[in-house]
Amino acid sequence: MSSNDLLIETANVSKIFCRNLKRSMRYGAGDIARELLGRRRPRSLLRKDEFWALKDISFSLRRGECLGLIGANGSGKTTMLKIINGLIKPDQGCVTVRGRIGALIALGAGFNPILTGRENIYINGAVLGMTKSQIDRQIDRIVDFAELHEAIDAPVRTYSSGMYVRLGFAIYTALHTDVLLIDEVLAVGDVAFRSKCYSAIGEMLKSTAAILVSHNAEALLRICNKGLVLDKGRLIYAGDICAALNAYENEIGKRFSTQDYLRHCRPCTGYRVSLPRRHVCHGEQLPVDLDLEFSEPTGNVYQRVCVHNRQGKLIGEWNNSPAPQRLSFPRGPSRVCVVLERILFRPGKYVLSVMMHGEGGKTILGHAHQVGTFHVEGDLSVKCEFALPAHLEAA
Amino acid sequence: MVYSPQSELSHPVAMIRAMVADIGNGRGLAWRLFVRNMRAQYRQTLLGFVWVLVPPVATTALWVILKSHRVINFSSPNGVPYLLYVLCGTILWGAFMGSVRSPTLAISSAREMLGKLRFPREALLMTQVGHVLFSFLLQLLLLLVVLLCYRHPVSSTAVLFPLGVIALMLLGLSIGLVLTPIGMLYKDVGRAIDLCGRFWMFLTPVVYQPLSGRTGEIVSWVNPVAPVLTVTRDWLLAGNTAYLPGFVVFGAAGMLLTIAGLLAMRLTMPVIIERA
Repeated sequence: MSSNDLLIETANVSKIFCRNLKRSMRYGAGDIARELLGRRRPRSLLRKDEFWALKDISFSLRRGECLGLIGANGSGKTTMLKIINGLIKPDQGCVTVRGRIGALIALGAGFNPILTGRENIYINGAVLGMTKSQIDRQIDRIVDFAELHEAIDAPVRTYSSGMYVRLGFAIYTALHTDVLLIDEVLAVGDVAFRSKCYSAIGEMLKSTAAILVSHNAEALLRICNKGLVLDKGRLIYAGDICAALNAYENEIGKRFSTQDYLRHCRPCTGYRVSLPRRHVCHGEQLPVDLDLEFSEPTGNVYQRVCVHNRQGKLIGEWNNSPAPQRLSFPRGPSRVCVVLERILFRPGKYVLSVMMHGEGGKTILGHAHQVGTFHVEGDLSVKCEFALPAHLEAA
Repeated sequence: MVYSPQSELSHPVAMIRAMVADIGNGRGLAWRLFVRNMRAQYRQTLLGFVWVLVPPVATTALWVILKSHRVINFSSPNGVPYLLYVLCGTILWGAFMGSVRSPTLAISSAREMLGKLRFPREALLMTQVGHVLFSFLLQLLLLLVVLLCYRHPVSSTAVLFPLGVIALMLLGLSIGLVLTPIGMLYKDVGRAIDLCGRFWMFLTPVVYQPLSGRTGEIVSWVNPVAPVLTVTRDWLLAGNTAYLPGFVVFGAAGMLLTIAGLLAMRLTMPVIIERA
């Protein structure tokens, strides 16, 4: 086969799910009857309690390409993988898959806890479609990859969960497929093993068309070159992975209300956070205005300004704790401005939280959780949250 | 491969070809799974395979004791010891019920895998049938030992015994396969099989001789297992049999229905994975 054949093609794929178990069983019985009579056809009308788990999804993927499926929980990513894998049927549209499919979905499926690691390699390999002689040839490599030399002849129920998934993943490295489906299994093992997994996957990607489902923006940026954003089963963006991630972040951004959660306690009687500039270029400064009001003069006040990414992960913080910048306020209203000097985050959207503690950090005076969002602009292509400022010098 | 909402039945030739290919490809997997289950089942036991012999031995002992105390007055055909007759009957019945249960067991024991990975599903069924066959062969060994102990003469029709066993197992398999698609959705079916199995055994001449007269005739035509089991046992123990027509009809029906059932299982698998 040539290096860039079209391996996956989906055309207007739609899938209907039912929310009610009893009714789902009844519909299922109907589906079985229609299937057996050969009368199952595309459906476009929803019955009671049904909803579109996927609606009109079309894309195509060639060998060497990797598509990142992005979306909140329940947006239909796994359903899409199941349809491509041929486990469930679409209710509309059709999927064409060429070549052998490998699904990195259930690590260690079919493992029996009583049997040894070695025996389980043969079983899992057989489930994945390998013959005994193929496994015989690869078993040393698999054991090497899993780094389980001492434990390979012990029952897998004595394995730690990390060892279990390591063995599960290692078996996949012996598999040669044309289409690879990966569903959030990369977050396994310790850091060293994870990077080994990534390079193994990188190796597999050269000769496959792959689809990766993940919430990890870093992994998506590193592995994928195309992105597809799903929202409640609908396609909201398809294209380049960077743009897809931004589209996804914007989409969930709409659901965040600013001034999300703001509270203050005595002696603080007023607390407002505002961002005079919501768009900054990479490397520029970002001023944060705090309007405060106190019913009595305060001692030293401890301020924390935190930045979260769209997944809610804390990625940056400033505070005045050990610094000589003592902050104390008189009775009545006052205003301070915290200037975050150089914003070095990757271009994208970020959320700001501010916390204010009393002397010693024990009491909370004010808590402004996710009160403002700002955009970092620029065309840097870093894959992680931070873009380090640097320049090249002739050595 | 193309996946669309259309029923696979619209391309029957392609479907049958794919099924035959899957059965071929699934043999290796079926063998692996069979060995896995065997090892896992017996590695943690002391008595190991002896457990396979316990059910027919216990059942036979019960009936023989009941008969010796004249609680029942069941008889066996002329020249065949009652113990031998009942032991053979329960072993055959076990193979039949095992076959009935194997399709549901095959799917429910691998539900996790079925929902996540694509592999020849026929392998699961082959594994399960393998277990039934394994237990049967082990029990048959016991039966042969008892036969030798009794110095019971084996007639020439005994060569047909394997054919009878195959017919009996296919009949069981076909019933199991027919019930599977709905049985996977509604758990009622599994419960009904377990409950009915007990009564069914008493409606079948397992521990007694087929009833004579009109009642016996009706039973043997209403209950498909009755003639198949009786003929199989008669071939081994008695030599001559009077139920051949029923055997032929139900044996053939079982075979055809098994093939149809395999196709049905294949067709309905996506629905089962999605809904069950």
